[in-house]
Amino acid sequence: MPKDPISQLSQEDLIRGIKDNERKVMTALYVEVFPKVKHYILKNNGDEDEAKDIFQEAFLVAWKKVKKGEFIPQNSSAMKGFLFQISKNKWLDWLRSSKFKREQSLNAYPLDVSDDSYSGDLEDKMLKLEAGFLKLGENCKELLKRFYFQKMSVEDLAQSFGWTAQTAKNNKYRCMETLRKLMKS
Amino acid sequence: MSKDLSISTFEFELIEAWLEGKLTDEQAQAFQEFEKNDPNWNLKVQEVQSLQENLETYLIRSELNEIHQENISNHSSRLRLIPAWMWAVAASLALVMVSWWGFQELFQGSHERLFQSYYEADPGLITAMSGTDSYEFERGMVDYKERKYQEALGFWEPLLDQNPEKDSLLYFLGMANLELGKYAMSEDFLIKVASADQSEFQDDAHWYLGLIYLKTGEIEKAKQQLTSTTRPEAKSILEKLE
Repeated sequence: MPKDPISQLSQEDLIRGIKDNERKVMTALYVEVFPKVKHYILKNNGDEDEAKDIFQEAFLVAWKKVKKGEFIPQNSSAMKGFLFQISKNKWLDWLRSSKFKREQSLNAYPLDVSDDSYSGDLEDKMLKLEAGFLKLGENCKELLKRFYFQKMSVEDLAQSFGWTAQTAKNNKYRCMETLRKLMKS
Repeated sequence: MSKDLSISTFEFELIEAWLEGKLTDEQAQAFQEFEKNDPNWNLKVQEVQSLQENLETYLIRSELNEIHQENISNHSSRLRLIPAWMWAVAASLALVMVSWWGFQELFQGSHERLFQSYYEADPGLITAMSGTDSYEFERGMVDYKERKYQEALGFWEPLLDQNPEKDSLLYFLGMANLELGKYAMSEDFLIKVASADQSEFQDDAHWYLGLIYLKTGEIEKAKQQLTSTTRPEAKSILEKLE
């Protein structure tokens, strides 16, 4: 792997890589930015595990903002900066909430990185989803991963399993239904 | 999530196409009809959307953990913390495992191993199949999915009298017997499904028949079944059998 494999990507390729959850784009961004975030958090009363948790939460937020078109990175440096900024804000947020509640605002919110999606209700759903997903058969897990994470088209999905497109659609439905019901059981 | 919504394949595909912004004119019309006439339509849309989003979030999180594990976690420093005596234990365990594997090699045929590495139980059905959507069939399916195969058979076997040709019933009778290690029984049921004129279980029936024949060492029969299924793993088994 070259030293900084995503700096070579065009804006278009970078955004497509994010939308399609491309492993190499994810890894490159992770490997580039995590050490900086870790350094920042260690310097500011945190430890390595906290750095990992905060960074991964921030990664998810940044990733989704690009997917939804709420943030359009001009290039990979902009994306790295954005991810670092969210991580930093999340860390400050955490410090403020637990230790420095009464302190004045640290004025560290130049970007809207609010993350209103992580209510307790959602976390509860996520736990159910994880439990349900782990109970699925290997074929369903693989199918759902290829379609909903790797963003394969139905045609490619069918080809990869040696099915017809219709069978792929039916199986996708069947797996999602199983998952939906498992989450309720 | 509070309401137990039933979403059909058609509705599911329609909602997914709508979420992607890829409705055809015909679908757009159907979507509008549902919006007008189905009081639960908005809930269904929300349910599919949130399921999709949460699934993707979960998969992204898993991937991030993997990336962290592979690229960041410092394995070498952790390994150094393990005291020497543990290495000795680990080495002896490894030796035991290697010998165990050697015994497996000797006493267990390679076909049996192929069976074991490819066999995975059918996860079961959720929705009722037309024709056998009786309470008993559904009830048996609940047991089947909880791996209570004997109990599932208790519900399903009596249904055979009235539905001797029903493919979903025959198929899952085959699968429950297979899980219980009753290969001959399972074979009987699956042969009926595999030779049915039109059954969505036909492909899977060929696949599991192929695996049963691998298990029983009837390799020619296994090959025949595996060439009749479209399961991609079948190809790799066939290659290994050559």
